[in-house]
Amino acid sequence: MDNRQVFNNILTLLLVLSGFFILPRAYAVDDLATIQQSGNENAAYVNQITTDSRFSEYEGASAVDITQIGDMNYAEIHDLGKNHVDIKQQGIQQEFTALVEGRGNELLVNQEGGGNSGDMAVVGDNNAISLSQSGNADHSDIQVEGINNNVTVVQSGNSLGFSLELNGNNRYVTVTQQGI
Amino acid sequence: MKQHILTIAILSVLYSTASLAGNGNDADVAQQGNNNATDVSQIGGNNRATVVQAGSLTTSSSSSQGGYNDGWWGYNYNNGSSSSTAYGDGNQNAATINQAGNNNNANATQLGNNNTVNVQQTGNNNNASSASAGAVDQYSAQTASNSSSWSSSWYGWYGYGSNSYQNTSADIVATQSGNNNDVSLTQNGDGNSSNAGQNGNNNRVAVAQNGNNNNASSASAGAVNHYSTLAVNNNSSSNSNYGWWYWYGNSYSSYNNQQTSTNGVTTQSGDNNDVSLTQNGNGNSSNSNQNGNNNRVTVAQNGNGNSASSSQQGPQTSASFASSSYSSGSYWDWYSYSSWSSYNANQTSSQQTQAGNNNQTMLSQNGDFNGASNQQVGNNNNTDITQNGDRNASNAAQIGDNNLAMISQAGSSNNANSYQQGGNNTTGITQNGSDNNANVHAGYAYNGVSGSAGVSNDNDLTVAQNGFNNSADVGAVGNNNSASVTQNGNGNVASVQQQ
Repeated sequence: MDNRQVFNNILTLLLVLSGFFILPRAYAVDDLATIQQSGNENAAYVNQITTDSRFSEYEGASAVDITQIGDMNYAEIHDLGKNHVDIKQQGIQQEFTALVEGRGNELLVNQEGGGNSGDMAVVGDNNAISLSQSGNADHSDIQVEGINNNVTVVQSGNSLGFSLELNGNNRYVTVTQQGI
Repeated sequence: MKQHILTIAILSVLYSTASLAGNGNDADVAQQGNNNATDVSQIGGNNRATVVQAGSLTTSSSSSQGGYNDGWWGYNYNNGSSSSTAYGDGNQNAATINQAGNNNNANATQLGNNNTVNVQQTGNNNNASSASAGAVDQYSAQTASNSSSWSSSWYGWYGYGSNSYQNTSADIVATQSGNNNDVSLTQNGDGNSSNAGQNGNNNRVAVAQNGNNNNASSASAGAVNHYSTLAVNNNSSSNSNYGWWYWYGNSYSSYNNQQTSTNGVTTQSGDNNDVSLTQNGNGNSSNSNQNGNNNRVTVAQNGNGNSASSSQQGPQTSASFASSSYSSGSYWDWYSYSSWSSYNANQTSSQQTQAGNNNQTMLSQNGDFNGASNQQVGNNNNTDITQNGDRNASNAAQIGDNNLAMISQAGSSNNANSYQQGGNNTTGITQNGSDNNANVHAGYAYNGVSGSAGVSNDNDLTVAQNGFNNSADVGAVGNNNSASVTQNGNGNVASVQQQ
């Protein structure tokens, strides 16, 4: 066993201990966060920490639902657990950032308008990511780390941009870009 | 030349009359029997009249007239179905009326300054009244047993006699023990004070003060009592109503069958007014109305089924309310209701604390720079705060289960905070305007209240904001919590934290 392997084993052990013993936390389940904003330059932030399914088999069923109608709105989500996240943005120059950690999450993002952008990072297994952008000059970046994750991206419009970084196995990716 | 008349009669149906003119006169009348009458008239100063009547259906009348009466005047003693009347015109007069028995009437009228009236009645269905005009007078009445009443009217004119525009200061003390008693006090002038004490049931006190720097206080022990205080101009008054489980003359059956119902009403118009109400017992209610500047209302209720309301009009007012319930709740459910409102006022503050279950607070403020704070510890409590204006602040803290907090603000630069610890709680904040801020937290530690944080499940937290540059912060610790933020406008920020 070389030094690198020993270091990795110790790191793994520390992570397990921090999850069960060192930092015991009571994670919530069955929570629901709903934000509806109509107007311009609005911002929505959601930090939902439910069942930490990185270390536990028990999985909660919390949900986040954000709807923004207007221009230049911003949504930011940090979601930990087995949750359902639904982001709807209608307008121009909308932006969202989502960090999803856990297993079995559903992340649905729908942007309608031009110049919209989004950054998504998913860490965990068995997650489903669906991104739909309609409009010109839309852009999205997605990073996925885990196994058995599904990524579906549909973009319709001109001057579209999309980047995807995948780390792991058994992923299913569908990307559709359609000009108008 | 001093004149002295002494009349002793041991006869029935005797009429005695004496008329004296001069200074330093003494008149002593003693009558024993029924249906007697005495009339004493003194003109001059430093006179003294004493009427003693032992019997029933007697009448005595004493009058004193003079430019300056210095001395002791008017002493009437009656026994049953009798009437005593004292009339004085001058300064430093003293009238004392003692009546023992039932159905007696006592009346004292004084014109002048530095006069005193003392009425003592023992028996039932007695009545005492006094009227005066002058300054620095003192009046007291002490009645016992049932169905007695004491009324006093005091008109503080601008100095009767040689003085003018002097301050008027009259002290009125009324003490009653028994049931079905009435106290009615009217004071016109400045620097007056009145105190009404009642021990018994179904008693009533009514105080009216017109002038500045007046003070009214009352204290009672019993049930089904009513108190009302009316003060106009710059006044201060305080009422302390102690609704003990104390039934005068009745048997004490059981704890839960006892209920004390005291109704206290205070109305003040003017500046720098104070209202202080304390009610101990069940089924009590109080209402405080103030119209003016820099007024204060303080209400404390201990018991169940109590209600308190306050209405303030004017700037820089404050109202505080504290209630606690201690019943087991098996028969008499815990309930306390408070309603506070201020109209078109700035820089007002209102603070309520309620301990117990099934409490309800309704608070409304109209104006700017107002503050409202409500703290409830218990279950099934309800808080409703409404603020119309700018730069207002609302704080609602609830510890317990099944609580409801509703805050509505219309205006700009308002702040609303709600803290809840427990389960199945509901918070709803509505803000219409711009630059408003709403904070809703369930399960977090809150410095202002006791209780452990971290256990708040099944809560429903809702924020609705209409306007620009509003912010909403919603946080919950626990399971099955629901957070909803709805914002209509530009530049709004919504933040939700759930863990």
